[in-house]
Amino acid sequence: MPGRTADPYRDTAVIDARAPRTNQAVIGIGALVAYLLDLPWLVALLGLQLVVGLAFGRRYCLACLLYFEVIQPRIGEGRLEDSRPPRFANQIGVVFLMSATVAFLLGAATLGWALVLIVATLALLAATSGLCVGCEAYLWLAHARGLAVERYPA
Amino acid sequence: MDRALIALAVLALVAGGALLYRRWLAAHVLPRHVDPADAGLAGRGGVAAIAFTTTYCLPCQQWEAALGEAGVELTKLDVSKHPELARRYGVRAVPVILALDLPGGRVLFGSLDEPAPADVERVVTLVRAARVPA
Repeated sequence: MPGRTADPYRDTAVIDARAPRTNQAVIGIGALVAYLLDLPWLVALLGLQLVVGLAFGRRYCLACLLYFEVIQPRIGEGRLEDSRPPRFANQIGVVFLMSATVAFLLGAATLGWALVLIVATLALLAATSGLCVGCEAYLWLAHARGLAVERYPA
Repeated sequence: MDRALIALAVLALVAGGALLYRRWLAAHVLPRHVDPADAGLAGRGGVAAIAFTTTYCLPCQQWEAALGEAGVELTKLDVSKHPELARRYGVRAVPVILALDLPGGRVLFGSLDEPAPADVERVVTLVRAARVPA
Protein backbone atom coordinates (compact mmCIF):
# COMPACT_ATOMS: atom_id res chain seq x y z
CA MET A 1 0.00 0.00 0.00
CA PRO A 2 1.45 3.42 -0.94
CA GLY A 3 2.37 5.48 2.13
CA ARG A 4 0.65 8.56 3.47
CA THR A 5 2.42 11.77 4.40
CA ALA A 6 -0.67 13.11 6.17
CA ASP A 7 -2.95 11.24 8.55
CA PRO A 8 -6.45 11.96 7.23
CA TYR A 9 -7.99 12.04 10.72
CA ARG A 10 -5.24 13.89 12.63
CA ASP A 11 -3.68 16.25 10.10
CA THR A 12 -6.89 18.12 9.52
CA ALA A 13 -5.18 21.31 8.35
CA VAL A 14 -4.52 19.57 5.06
CA ILE A 15 -6.44 17.11 2.95
CA ASP A 16 -5.69 14.87 0.00
CA ALA A 17 -7.21 16.85 -2.88
CA ARG A 18 -8.97 13.73 -4.17
CA ALA A 19 -11.02 13.42 -0.96
CA PRO A 20 -13.08 16.59 -1.54
CA ARG A 21 -13.51 15.52 -5.15
CA THR A 22 -14.90 12.19 -4.01
CA ASN A 23 -17.25 14.04 -1.67
CA GLN A 24 -18.27 16.38 -4.50
CA ALA A 25 -18.97 13.42 -6.76
CA VAL A 26 -21.14 11.76 -4.10
CA ILE A 27 -23.04 15.01 -3.43
CA GLY A 28 -23.41 15.82 -7.13
CA ILE A 29 -24.62 12.38 -8.16
CA GLY A 30 -26.86 12.14 -5.09
CA ALA A 31 -28.44 15.52 -5.79
CA LEU A 32 -29.04 14.65 -9.44
CA VAL A 33 -30.55 11.27 -8.54
CA ALA A 34 -32.78 12.98 -5.96
CA TYR A 35 -34.03 15.35 -8.65
CA LEU A 36 -34.50 12.64 -11.28
CA LEU A 37 -36.42 10.33 -8.95
CA ASP A 38 -38.19 13.13 -7.05
CA LEU A 39 -36.72 12.20 -3.66
CA PRO A 40 -36.68 15.28 -1.41
CA TRP A 41 -35.67 13.12 1.58
CA LEU A 42 -32.41 12.27 -0.21
CA VAL A 43 -31.63 15.99 -0.42
CA ALA A 44 -32.11 16.28 3.34
CA LEU A 45 -29.93 13.21 3.85
CA LEU A 46 -27.12 14.65 1.74
CA GLY A 47 -27.27 17.92 3.65
CA LEU A 48 -27.34 16.10 6.98
CA GLN A 49 -24.34 14.03 5.98
CA LEU A 50 -22.40 17.21 5.20
CA VAL A 51 -23.41 18.68 8.57
CA VAL A 52 -22.25 15.56 10.44
CA GLY A 53 -18.90 15.59 8.62
CA LEU A 54 -18.36 19.29 9.34
CA ALA A 55 -19.41 19.01 12.98
CA PHE A 56 -17.78 15.73 14.02
CA GLY A 57 -14.90 15.30 11.58
CA ARG A 58 -13.85 13.09 8.70
CA ARG A 59 -14.41 9.84 10.61
CA TYR A 60 -18.14 10.53 10.41
CA CYS A 61 -18.26 11.66 6.79
CA LEU A 62 -19.28 8.73 4.60
CA ALA A 63 -17.64 10.08 1.44
CA CYS A 64 -14.43 10.73 3.41
CA LEU A 65 -14.48 7.16 4.73
CA LEU A 66 -15.09 5.87 1.21
CA TYR A 67 -12.05 7.77 -0.02
CA PHE A 68 -9.65 7.31 2.91
CA GLU A 69 -10.51 3.69 3.70
CA VAL A 70 -11.33 2.23 0.28
CA ILE A 71 -9.95 4.36 -2.54
CA GLN A 72 -6.78 5.98 -1.17
CA PRO A 73 -5.22 2.71 0.08
CA ARG A 74 -5.47 1.40 -3.49
CA ILE A 75 -4.35 4.41 -5.53
CA GLY A 76 -2.08 6.19 -3.05
CA GLU A 77 -2.10 9.68 -1.67
CA GLY A 78 -2.74 12.56 -4.05
CA ARG A 79 -1.78 16.18 -3.78
CA LEU A 80 -2.26 17.65 -0.31
CA GLU A 81 -4.06 20.96 -0.09
CA ASP A 82 -5.26 23.41 2.51
CA SER A 83 -8.45 21.93 3.96
CA ARG A 84 -10.15 25.26 4.68
CA PRO A 85 -11.42 26.05 1.15
CA PRO A 86 -13.18 22.68 0.64
CA ARG A 87 -14.59 22.89 4.17
CA PHE A 88 -16.06 26.29 3.32
CA ALA A 89 -17.45 24.84 0.09
CA ASN A 90 -19.13 22.12 2.16
CA GLN A 91 -20.68 24.79 4.37
CA ILE A 92 -22.11 26.47 1.28
CA GLY A 93 -23.43 23.08 0.20
CA VAL A 94 -25.12 22.65 3.56
CA VAL A 95 -26.82 26.05 3.24
CA PHE A 96 -28.13 25.19 -0.23
CA LEU A 97 -29.27 21.65 0.60
CA MET A 98 -30.90 22.64 3.88
CA SER A 99 -32.58 25.63 2.23
CA ALA A 100 -33.90 23.25 -0.41
CA THR A 101 -35.21 20.95 2.32
CA VAL A 102 -36.98 23.86 4.03
CA ALA A 103 -38.43 24.88 0.65
CA PHE A 104 -39.80 21.34 0.16
CA LEU A 105 -41.33 21.41 3.64
CA LEU A 106 -42.97 24.75 2.87
CA GLY A 107 -44.34 23.45 -0.41
CA ALA A 108 -42.02 25.49 -2.64
CA ALA A 109 -40.81 22.48 -4.61
CA THR A 110 -39.65 24.47 -7.66
CA LEU A 111 -37.36 26.62 -5.52
CA GLY A 112 -36.13 23.51 -3.70
CA TRP A 113 -35.24 21.69 -6.91
CA ALA A 114 -33.60 24.80 -8.35
CA LEU A 115 -31.29 24.89 -5.33
CA VAL A 116 -30.64 21.15 -5.65
CA LEU A 117 -29.74 21.52 -9.33
CA ILE A 118 -27.32 24.34 -8.52
CA VAL A 119 -25.63 22.06 -5.98
CA ALA A 120 -25.56 19.17 -8.46
CA THR A 121 -24.05 21.33 -11.20
CA LEU A 122 -21.36 22.90 -9.03
CA ALA A 123 -20.49 19.66 -7.23
CA LEU A 124 -20.17 17.68 -10.45
CA LEU A 125 -18.17 20.48 -12.06
CA ALA A 126 -15.77 20.43 -9.10
CA ALA A 127 -15.54 16.64 -9.16
CA THR A 128 -14.83 16.43 -12.87
CA SER A 129 -12.68 19.50 -13.48
CA GLY A 130 -11.32 20.59 -10.10
CA LEU A 131 -13.06 23.96 -10.41
CA CYS A 132 -14.52 24.31 -6.91
CA VAL A 133 -16.56 27.51 -6.85
CA GLY A 134 -16.99 27.40 -3.07
CA CYS A 135 -13.22 27.02 -2.61
CA GLU A 136 -12.62 29.97 -4.95
CA ALA A 137 -15.12 32.00 -2.92
CA TYR A 138 -13.18 31.13 0.25
CA LEU A 139 -9.87 32.18 -1.31
CA TRP A 140 -11.39 35.41 -2.57
CA LEU A 141 -12.88 36.22 0.85
CA ALA A 142 -9.65 35.27 2.62
CA HIS A 143 -7.61 37.56 0.41
CA ALA A 144 -10.18 40.34 0.84
CA ARG A 145 -9.79 39.96 4.63
CA GLY A 146 -6.02 39.97 4.34
CA LEU A 147 -5.57 36.33 5.33
CA ALA A 148 -2.58 34.52 3.90
CA VAL A 149 -4.15 31.53 2.22
CA GLU A 150 -2.37 29.80 -0.60
CA ARG A 151 -2.94 26.45 -2.26
CA TYR A 152 0.59 25.44 -1.36
CA PRO A 153 2.40 23.98 0.45
CA ALA A 154 -1.10 22.73 1.13
CA MET B 1 -39.33 13.15 -19.14
CA ASP B 2 -38.89 16.84 -18.35
CA ARG B 3 -36.77 15.92 -15.37
CA ALA B 4 -34.58 13.67 -17.49
CA LEU B 5 -34.05 16.47 -20.02
CA ILE B 6 -33.17 18.96 -17.30
CA ALA B 7 -30.78 16.43 -15.73
CA LEU B 8 -29.16 15.94 -19.13
CA ALA B 9 -28.86 19.72 -19.48
CA VAL B 10 -27.11 19.82 -16.10
CA LEU B 11 -24.67 17.14 -17.24
CA ALA B 12 -24.04 19.01 -20.50
CA LEU B 13 -23.43 22.20 -18.53
CA VAL B 14 -20.96 20.35 -16.30
CA ALA B 15 -19.14 18.81 -19.27
CA GLY B 16 -18.96 22.14 -21.10
CA GLY B 17 -17.86 23.99 -17.98
CA ALA B 18 -15.18 21.41 -17.23
CA LEU B 19 -13.85 21.58 -20.79
CA LEU B 20 -13.74 25.38 -20.78
CA TYR B 21 -12.07 25.42 -17.37
CA ARG B 22 -9.35 22.99 -18.49
CA ARG B 23 -8.69 25.14 -21.56
CA TRP B 24 -8.60 28.27 -19.43
CA LEU B 25 -6.16 26.62 -17.03
CA ALA B 26 -3.84 25.61 -19.85
CA ALA B 27 -3.95 29.10 -21.33
CA HIS B 28 -3.71 31.19 -18.17
CA VAL B 29 -2.27 29.15 -15.33
CA LEU B 30 0.82 27.75 -16.96
CA PRO B 31 3.55 30.36 -17.19
CA ARG B 32 4.63 31.12 -20.75
CA HIS B 33 8.11 32.20 -19.81
CA VAL B 34 10.44 31.53 -16.87
CA ASP B 35 13.65 33.44 -16.28
CA PRO B 36 16.32 30.68 -16.38
CA ALA B 37 18.22 32.51 -13.63
CA ASP B 38 15.32 31.80 -11.24
CA ALA B 39 15.89 28.09 -11.82
CA GLY B 40 19.67 28.33 -11.61
CA LEU B 41 19.91 27.64 -15.33
CA ALA B 42 21.30 30.98 -16.54
CA GLY B 43 23.63 30.63 -19.49
CA ARG B 44 22.65 27.03 -20.24
CA GLY B 45 21.39 25.83 -23.59
CA GLY B 46 19.03 23.10 -24.74
CA VAL B 47 15.77 22.24 -23.01
CA ALA B 48 15.44 21.80 -19.24
CA ALA B 49 12.69 20.17 -17.22
CA ILE B 50 11.73 22.23 -14.18
CA ALA B 51 9.12 21.77 -11.46
CA PHE B 52 7.44 24.24 -9.15
CA THR B 53 7.11 21.98 -6.14
CA THR B 54 6.91 21.66 -2.36
CA THR B 55 8.29 19.05 0.00
CA TYR B 56 4.75 17.64 0.30
CA CYS B 57 4.21 17.28 -3.44
CA LEU B 58 4.02 13.56 -4.19
CA PRO B 59 3.16 13.99 -7.89
CA CYS B 60 6.34 16.09 -8.17
CA GLN B 61 8.32 13.17 -6.76
CA GLN B 62 6.60 10.87 -9.25
CA TRP B 63 7.60 13.22 -12.06
CA GLU B 64 11.18 13.31 -10.78
CA ALA B 65 11.31 9.50 -10.67
CA ALA B 66 9.74 9.07 -14.12
CA LEU B 67 12.06 11.58 -15.74
CA GLY B 68 15.04 10.18 -13.81
CA GLU B 69 14.38 6.73 -15.28
CA ALA B 70 14.72 8.31 -18.73
CA GLY B 71 17.93 10.09 -17.74
CA VAL B 72 16.34 13.54 -17.56
CA GLU B 73 17.13 15.72 -14.58
CA LEU B 74 14.26 17.70 -13.01
CA THR B 75 15.23 21.09 -11.61
CA LYS B 76 13.01 21.82 -8.62
CA LEU B 77 11.83 25.23 -7.41
CA ASP B 78 10.33 24.89 -3.93
CA VAL B 79 7.54 27.46 -3.71
CA SER B 80 7.13 26.97 0.04
CA LYS B 81 10.70 28.24 0.46
CA HIS B 82 10.44 30.79 -2.36
CA PRO B 83 6.86 32.06 -2.41
CA GLU B 84 8.00 35.10 -4.40
CA LEU B 85 8.65 32.78 -7.35
CA ALA B 86 5.12 31.39 -7.10
CA ARG B 87 3.71 34.91 -7.09
CA ARG B 88 5.91 36.01 -9.98
CA TYR B 89 4.84 33.12 -12.21
CA GLY B 90 1.25 32.82 -11.01
CA VAL B 91 1.75 29.34 -9.55
CA ARG B 92 -1.21 28.63 -7.26
CA ALA B 93 -0.91 24.87 -6.96
CA VAL B 94 1.70 22.19 -7.42
CA PRO B 95 2.83 20.32 -9.39
CA VAL B 96 3.68 22.65 -12.25
CA ILE B 97 6.05 20.82 -14.56
CA LEU B 98 7.59 22.75 -17.44
CA ALA B 99 9.92 22.08 -20.33
CA LEU B 100 11.96 25.26 -20.77
CA ASP B 101 13.70 26.31 -23.94
CA LEU B 102 17.11 27.66 -22.94
CA PRO B 103 18.70 30.13 -22.82
CA GLY B 104 15.55 32.18 -23.49
CA GLY B 105 13.23 30.52 -20.97
CA ARG B 106 10.22 30.04 -23.23
CA VAL B 107 7.87 27.31 -21.98
CA LEU B 108 7.54 24.57 -24.58
CA PHE B 109 5.33 22.25 -22.57
CA GLY B 110 3.58 22.30 -19.24
CA SER B 111 1.63 19.96 -16.99
CA LEU B 112 -0.41 20.56 -13.85
CA ASP B 113 -1.12 16.90 -13.28
CA GLU B 114 0.45 13.68 -12.16
CA PRO B 115 2.89 12.19 -14.68
CA ALA B 116 0.88 10.58 -17.46
CA PRO B 117 3.13 8.43 -19.68
CA ALA B 118 2.42 10.59 -22.76
CA ASP B 119 3.36 13.77 -20.87
CA VAL B 120 6.58 12.24 -19.53
CA GLU B 121 7.45 11.08 -23.05
CA ARG B 122 6.81 14.59 -24.38
CA VAL B 123 9.20 16.17 -21.88
CA VAL B 124 11.84 13.49 -22.44
CA THR B 125 11.59 13.93 -26.21
CA LEU B 126 11.94 17.71 -25.96
CA VAL B 127 14.97 17.47 -23.67
CA ARG B 128 16.71 14.77 -25.73
CA ALA B 129 16.03 16.50 -29.06
CA ALA B 130 17.72 19.64 -27.82
CA ARG B 131 20.81 17.91 -26.48
CA VAL B 132 23.96 18.83 -28.36
CA PRO B 133 25.80 15.66 -29.45
CA ALA B 134 29.09 15.27 -27.59
